[in-house]
Amino acid sequence: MKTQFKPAHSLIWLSLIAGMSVLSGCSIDINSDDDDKDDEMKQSYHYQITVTNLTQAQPMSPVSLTLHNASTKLWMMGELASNALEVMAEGGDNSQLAELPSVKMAYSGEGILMPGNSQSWMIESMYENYMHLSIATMLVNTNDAFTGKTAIDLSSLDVGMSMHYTTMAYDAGTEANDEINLPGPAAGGEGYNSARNDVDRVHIHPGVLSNAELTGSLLSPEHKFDNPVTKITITRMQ
Amino acid sequence: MKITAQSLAKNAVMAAALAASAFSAQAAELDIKLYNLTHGITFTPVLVAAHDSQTMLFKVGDTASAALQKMAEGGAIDDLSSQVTTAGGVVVENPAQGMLGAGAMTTAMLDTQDNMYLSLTAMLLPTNDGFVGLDSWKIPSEAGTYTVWLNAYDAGSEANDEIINGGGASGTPGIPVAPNGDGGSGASGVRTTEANNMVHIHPGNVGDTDNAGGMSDLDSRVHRWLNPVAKLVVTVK
Repeated sequence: MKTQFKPAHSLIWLSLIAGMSVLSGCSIDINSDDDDKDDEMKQSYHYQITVTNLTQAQPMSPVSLTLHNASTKLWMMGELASNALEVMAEGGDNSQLAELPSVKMAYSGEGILMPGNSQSWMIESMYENYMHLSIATMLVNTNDAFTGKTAIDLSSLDVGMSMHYTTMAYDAGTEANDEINLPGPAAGGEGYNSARNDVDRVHIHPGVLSNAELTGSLLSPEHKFDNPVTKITITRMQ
Repeated sequence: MKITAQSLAKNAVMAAALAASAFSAQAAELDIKLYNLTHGITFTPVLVAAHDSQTMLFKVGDTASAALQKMAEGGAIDDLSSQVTTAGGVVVENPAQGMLGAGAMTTAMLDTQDNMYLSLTAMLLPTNDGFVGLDSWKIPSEAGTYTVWLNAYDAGSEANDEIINGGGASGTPGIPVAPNGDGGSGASGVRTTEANNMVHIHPGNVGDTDNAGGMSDLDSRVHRWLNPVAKLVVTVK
């Protein structure tokens, strides 16, 4: 397994992992101007992250992987979604999550994670105070459903050991679930819209109805989903 | 390490000794209880298997094996069972001695010998290719009682048309039966194709409220579920 890293504060391209989906990821060190003493590089930690899409017919937007400080959560149940989260949950664009001030390193999958498929990435953490990982992606045949795991503490994982998670589908609560304004292939409709016309709190997604039960829905029964919707494996490589 | 004939022979002896000690160290007696948590879904004969890390009954994100497809579409566990025993695993077949209905519980006892992983499958009726599953749960070495919640999977091998027509053979469309006699007939079918042919989380039954037509022979008030669909309680003695 060969992974190339350039020094921090530059664009880093990551190699693919043999046998996995033909997709790469890129990493951008966002806050390169920080002169925070906590940023001092002490040691380099490498992790392999694998995400499997467990749904029947919900493609997932390019997966966002961010490394941030311990006090950050990208979302919390019952709380308002940030604008950055709303942009991803409604339209699949994860670029604003990468630009959050607390995020030190951000990686993104390059393509859609299709149902039944897996994608893997190698990521590197170089800052001891930015050892918390968040993983996020949109279920694109929905109004504002997303999934992932936020603030996974990587610091106590030993070399060669793995962590396993399955994740729930969340509703960002920022867009009404009309099943019409969907950016995914089922509709090709509107993605992000800054208007908030739903309950405006992050919650467990109630699921989609489809045209079997909701007149005007652009979804069909195959787009229904149940939890969990992804499986995540994190292995520390070095 | 450089392997020579001599060191190979020595290693073989050591390996045999290690295996013998590992056998006694890891053998576990399990008491197992399986609860069907659904509203109106029946489990076909259950297969419980203890096996090594190389063996599995199913894996999400992989295509279903022929043996898994046979279980998921028709409830037959014989091929899955013989694959496990051929690979050195041990099984309990059909502990409920037939169907395990909604709300029911069954028990099993299993001597795992030197197998460290536990798996379980049973088809969900009425579905096209849905099954309840546990994939390679690592059996704890410490004595105690452990609870595991199980999800419903879709084998990805047959489109969920939701038509009850007796079709239980692999590759034959349709649902074998609604065991409680609560299915309908004359449905036009929910769908005929599915792009995702990998094992995945089941999207759930759709159903309708027309038992003499509509798009589904399933009853949307009776045959739906949300995960988890089963509770497994394992006591390691």
